[in-house]
Amino acid sequence: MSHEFHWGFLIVLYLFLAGLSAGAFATSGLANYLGSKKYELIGRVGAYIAPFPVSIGLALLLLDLGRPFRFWRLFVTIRWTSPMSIGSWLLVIFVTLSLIYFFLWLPDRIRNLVRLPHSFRHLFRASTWTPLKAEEVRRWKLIIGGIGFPVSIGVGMYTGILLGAIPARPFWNTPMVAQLFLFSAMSSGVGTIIFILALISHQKISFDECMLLNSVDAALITFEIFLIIPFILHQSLATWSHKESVALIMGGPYTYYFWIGVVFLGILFPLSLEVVELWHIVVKKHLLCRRINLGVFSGAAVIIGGFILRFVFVYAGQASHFLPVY
Amino acid sequence: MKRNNKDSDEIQYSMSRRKFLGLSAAGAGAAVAAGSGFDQLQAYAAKYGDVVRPTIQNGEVYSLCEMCVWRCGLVAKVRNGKITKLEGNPHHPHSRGKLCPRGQAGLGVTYDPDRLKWPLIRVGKRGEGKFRKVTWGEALDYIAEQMLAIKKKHGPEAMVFSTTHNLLQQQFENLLGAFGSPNYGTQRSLCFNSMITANMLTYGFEEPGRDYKDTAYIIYAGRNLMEAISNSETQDLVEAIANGAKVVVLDPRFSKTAARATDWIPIRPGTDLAFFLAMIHEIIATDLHNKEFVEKYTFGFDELAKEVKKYTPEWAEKECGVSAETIRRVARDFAIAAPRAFAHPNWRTSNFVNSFQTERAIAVLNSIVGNWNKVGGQCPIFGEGEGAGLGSIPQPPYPRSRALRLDGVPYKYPLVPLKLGIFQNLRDAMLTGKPYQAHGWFIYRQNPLSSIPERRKTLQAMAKLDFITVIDVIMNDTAYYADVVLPEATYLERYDPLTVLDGNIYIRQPVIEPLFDSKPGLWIFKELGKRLGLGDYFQYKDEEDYIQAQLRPLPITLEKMKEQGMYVPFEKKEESIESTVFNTSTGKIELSSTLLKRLGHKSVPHWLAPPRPTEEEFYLLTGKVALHTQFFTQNNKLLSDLFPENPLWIHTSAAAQRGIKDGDEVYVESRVGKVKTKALVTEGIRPDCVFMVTGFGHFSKGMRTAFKNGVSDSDLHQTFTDPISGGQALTQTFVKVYKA
Amino acid sequence: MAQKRFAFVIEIDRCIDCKACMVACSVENNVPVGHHRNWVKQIGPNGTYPILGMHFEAGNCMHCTNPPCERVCPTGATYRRDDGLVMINQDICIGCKYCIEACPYDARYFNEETGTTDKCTGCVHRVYRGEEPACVATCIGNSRHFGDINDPRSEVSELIAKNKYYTVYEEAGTHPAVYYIYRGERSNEP
Repeated sequence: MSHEFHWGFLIVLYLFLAGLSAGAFATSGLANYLGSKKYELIGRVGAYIAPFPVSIGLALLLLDLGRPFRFWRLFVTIRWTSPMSIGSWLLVIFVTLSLIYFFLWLPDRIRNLVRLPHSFRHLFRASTWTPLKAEEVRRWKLIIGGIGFPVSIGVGMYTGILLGAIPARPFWNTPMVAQLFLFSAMSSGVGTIIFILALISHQKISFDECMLLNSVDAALITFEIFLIIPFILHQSLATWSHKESVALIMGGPYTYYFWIGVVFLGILFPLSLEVVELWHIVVKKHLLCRRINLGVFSGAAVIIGGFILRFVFVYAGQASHFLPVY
Repeated sequence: MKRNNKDSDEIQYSMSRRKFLGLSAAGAGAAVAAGSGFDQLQAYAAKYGDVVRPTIQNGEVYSLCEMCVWRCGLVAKVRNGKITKLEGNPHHPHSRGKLCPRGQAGLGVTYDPDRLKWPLIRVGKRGEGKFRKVTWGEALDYIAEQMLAIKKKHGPEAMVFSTTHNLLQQQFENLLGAFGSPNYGTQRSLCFNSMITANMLTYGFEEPGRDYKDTAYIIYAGRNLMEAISNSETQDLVEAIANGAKVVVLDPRFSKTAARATDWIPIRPGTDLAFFLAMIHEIIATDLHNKEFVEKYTFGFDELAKEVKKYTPEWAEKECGVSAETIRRVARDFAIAAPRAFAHPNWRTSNFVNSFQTERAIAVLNSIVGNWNKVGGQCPIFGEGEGAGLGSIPQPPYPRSRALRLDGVPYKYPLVPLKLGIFQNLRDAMLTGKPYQAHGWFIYRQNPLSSIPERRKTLQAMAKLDFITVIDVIMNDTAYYADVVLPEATYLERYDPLTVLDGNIYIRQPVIEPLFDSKPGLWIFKELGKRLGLGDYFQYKDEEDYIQAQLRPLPITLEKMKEQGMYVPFEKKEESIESTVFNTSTGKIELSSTLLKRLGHKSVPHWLAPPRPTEEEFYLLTGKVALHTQFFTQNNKLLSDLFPENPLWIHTSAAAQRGIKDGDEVYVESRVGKVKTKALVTEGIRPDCVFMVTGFGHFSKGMRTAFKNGVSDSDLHQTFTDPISGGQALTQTFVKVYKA
Repeated sequence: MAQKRFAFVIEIDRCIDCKACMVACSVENNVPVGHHRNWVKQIGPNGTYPILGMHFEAGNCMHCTNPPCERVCPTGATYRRDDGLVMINQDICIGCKYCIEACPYDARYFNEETGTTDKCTGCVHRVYRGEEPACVATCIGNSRHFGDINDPRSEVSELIAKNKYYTVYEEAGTHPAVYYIYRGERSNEP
C-alpha cells in the first residue's frame, strides 16, 4: 500500500492562517500590555487582523472534512491524546476571544453602538445596558489580551504538535516541529503587522513601535534558525527512516522550496532588512522607514516564508514513511 | 460511451477522450466507481426503460464458476436481489471452499456495465461499432436465414462453428452436427494439442492425473501453477511444498512458481526436450529405471534405449544451457524418489514444433520410472464429462457430412483428434479458400481475433466471410467485428447441462434471473435450432426440462439437486492399475509408438532442434497471471484494478544495452507486427528472452475499461504448426525490442 | 472464559501472490474500486540472475494493541474493541483523515463515497457468525490464518508458539497483531 497525499492545499492554508492569527493576537496583546498608548498602532492592527485569517482557515478546514456537517462531533468530547481534539477546543476559545478583542478595539463611535449590561443584576433589564466606558475597555483589553496570550501560544504550537505526534511520518516526528511552527506563527503575525503598517501608515509609525516590531520579529526569526539546525541534525542522526525523510529537503523534491522559500525568503532576507532598520534606529537614531519602506518587503517575505514552511512540512511529511528492511 | 438514441434503437460504441471511469496510470484515488457495477446497471436501466430484474431469492445458491476451465463449485450469496459474494463450495473437489481471485471477481461479469444486454445487428461497416438493438426473434430469424442461405448455396461445410471448452459444449456440438458441418474449431491447438496427442499415443488416454499428497519430487516444464491457477491443483502444490516435496521448475522466466520451487532452471526455450531426453538417457545408463514396471506395462523399451544412447547430459548441456551436472542430479533424484515422483505433463504446450516430442519424452520419462497409479506419482483422472448414468434427450442421428474439414484433420494430420482440430489452419483456410471457401462463422464464447496468432491475418480472413455471428457476455474484439451479436446470460444467471467430476454430479443453476434481455445458451441453441429446421435435435422444452431429463435415471429431484448443488451416487467406479486400460494398439504404455511407426514417423521420442533467434532478437514468451483469464477478464474492474496492463519483461543487461529504463516506452517488433508497450526491467528472466502476459490489447470500444490497455501478443505471433499434433508454436516468434 | 484477542498469522512460504484475498475482501466489504483494505507486497526478485529469490508479504490493518490511529482520532470514531480488533464507527467519523496520516502501515483509505475513512474490520460480521474473514477463507495457499491468540489451542496460537515470527515496523511501538512466519527458501542440494 503506498501512501497518498490526503492533506493538501486546504490544510496548508489553514495551518498558516491559524498561526498567523495567533501571532497577530499575541503581538497585539503584548504590545497593549507594554504600553497601550506607546504601541497603540501595533495593538490596533493586530486586533483587527486576529479573527479573520483563522476564521477563513476554519472554513477551509471544514471543507476539507469528508463529512463537514458532522463537525459538531468534535465538540461533544475531549480526546486528550488527540492533538486535533485539543486543537479544536483551543481554536473555539481563541476565535471567541479574538472576536471579543476585536470588538474592544473598534473605534469608539462604532463600539458605542453596542450596549452591554454592567453586572449580573442588570442582565435581564435591557434598558439599563450601556456602552462600555473607556476605563472598562482599557481593563478588558488587558484581561482578554492576558487570557488570550497563552491561548495564542497554544494555537501556534498545537499545529506543530498535530504533525509531531505521528511516528508514521518520520519527517514530522520530532519535538522541533512544534517549536518551529510556534515561532513561525508568531513571526508571521508580527510580519503581517509590519507589512500592513508599512503599507498604510509608514509615515505615522512611531520610533518605539518600529523598534518593537523589528526587534521582536528579528528575535523570533533568529530563534527559528536555531530550531532548523537541530531539526536537520537530529533527523539525520536518528533512524534510517528519519535520515531518508530529511533527504526530502536535502536534495529531494522539496529542497528548493525549503532553502529558498523558507530559509532565504522567510528568515535570512527579512532578518537582514530588519537588522538594517534596527541599526538605523539604534545607532543612527532615525527611522529608515520614513524614507525607504523596507517593512513592506520584510513583512511580505516573512508571510510568504511562513506559508512555504507549512507547505514543505505538510507535503514532505506525507512523502516520508517507515522504510522496510528489504 | 454508449449513446442510445431512444427513437432509432441505434447504438454506437465510442470512446470519449477521458476513458470511462478509467483506471489510468494517473492513479487510483482519483476516479471513483460504484463498488460493483450493479448500481451503474440499475441507473442505466432506469434511464433507458429496461428492467433489471430482482432476484429469485434471498439466501445462498450452489453453482459452478466459469471464470476459467477449472469450473470450481461455488456458493453465491444473494441479498435483496443482488449477488453480494461468491465463495468456494466446500464440497466441490476443485474449490474445496476457496475461490481464486477470478472466481471471487465473478460478479464483476454479471454486473459489468459494459455487458451485452440485447441482441444486436450490425448497421455500419464491420469494426465501426455501429449496431441496431433488435428483438431475439428478429436476430435469430436473421441468423437462421443467413446460415440456411450459406447451406443452400455452398453446403453446410461452408459454415464454421467454433467454441472454447465450456459446459454447453455438448449442445454446441449437437447444433454443429445437426447442421451438417464438419468444421469445428476449438482453441485446443493453441493450447495443448501436443500434450493430448502425445499422451494418447503413449498411454491411450488424454492426461494422467498427479498425486500431490505424498509426492517427493515434481518437475514442471513451464507449468506455472501459482499464476495459471487451477485452484485445487495449486492448493495441492502448496501443500506438497510445505510437506517437503522437491520441485524443479524449467522456465526461462522466474515465475512465481519458480520462486517457490526448490530449483529454478532457466532453460533455453525449446530445449526442454534435450533436458528430458538426457534424463531418460541418464536413468537408463545408471540402471535406475523400474525394470519390473517397464517389463510388465510398457512396450518398446529397447528401441527407446537405443535412441537415447546419444543424448548424454554433456550433449544436452550444449543444447539447453543447463549444466550436465544439474541434469545428472535431477535425473538421479527423480529416479530415486520414484515412484513418488512425477514429471508434470504441463498444460499449454504449444511452444515449439518440438513440443510434441517434449511431451512424448515426459510421458516416457514417467513411464520408465514406473510411477503410474502409485502413491505420490501419476494416477487416473476422473475428469469432467458425461457418464455416471446421466439421462439424455432423444434425437435423430446426425446427417453424414461428406466434406473435408478445412483444418486438414484427419487427412493431413491423421494423429490429431477430431475434437481438438487445428484452429489456426481453420483461419488460414478461410483466408486462402483452400480446399474450399468458408462463408460463415458461428462463434460461441470465444475471441479468435485475440487468440489466434497474427491478428491482422484473422481480420483479413473474416473479411472474406459473408456472415459472422457471436454469442458472448461482453462485446469482445471478435463480437465487435461480427454481424450479429447475441447476449448470453452470464454463468450466474443460467442453467447449463449437469457435469460429472470425481464421480459426483454437480449443477450450474441461476443465482439471479438473467439481467436485461440476455438468455441462456440452452435456450439460444434450441430457438436457433428450431429456425434452422433442426428442432428435432433440441427436444427439450426449456433448460429445466433439459436438466430433468438428465436427472431422470437418478433417484434425485431437480429441487433437491438445486438445494444441495450436487449428487453423490452410491456406486462409484474405482480404478486400479490392473483395471487401467491403456488404449493403445499393444494395450501397454507405448514408449515406442506403434501408430507413429505405422504412419512413417520415428516411433520413440527424439531430438528436434528448435530455431534460435539472431543476436539482436529475443524469444517472445507469453503466459498467464493469477488475476486474468486469457482475454476474458480485462474489462472486469475488480481484476483490472489490480493488474491493468501487460508491460514487457526484459532483463537488466539487455535493457541497459538498449538504453531502456524501467517504465520506458518500447517497441516490440516481430516479422508480422509491431506494438508499443512499457518495459519492466528485471533480473527474473533469461537475457535472451522477453515476456508479456497474454490477453490484453483489446480494441473493442464496447469494453471501456479494457480498451487499449496493454498490447496483444496476437499482433506479434507468427503461425507455426506442428505437423504431427497440429499444435501452435507460440514461442517460435522472435522479436526485436528498442526504445520508443 | 478468557478474553478473546484476535490476531492474524500469515505464513509467507505459502503465499503465491494470487491476490484472491484482495478481491474477496473488496467484494465482501463493498470497497470502492481503486481502494484496498488489504494487500500483497512482492519482495524480489532479489539477487542476480540466475541466483534469485522472491517471496510475498500479505497484509492488512494490523489491529495494533497500541494503535496510533485510535490515539489521534479527534471524535473517538476509531476505537479498539475488547477482542483486539480496531474499528471505525462510520456514523461518527468526520473524515478529517488524521488517522490515515498516523497509520505506519498505510492500512486506511478515504472513502470518497461516504466521506469517511475506512479499513479492514477483521470481517467481524463474519467472525461472530462462525466464519473466517473473507481473505482467510479464500486463501488458495492456506497462508492466511485468523483466530484467538488467547486460546492456546487455536491454530494461530499454535503457529506462533512453534515458529519464529516477525511483525512489521516494530520500531513504531504499535505492537501489531499480524504475525509473519517465514521459514525461508529451501536450499538446493550442492
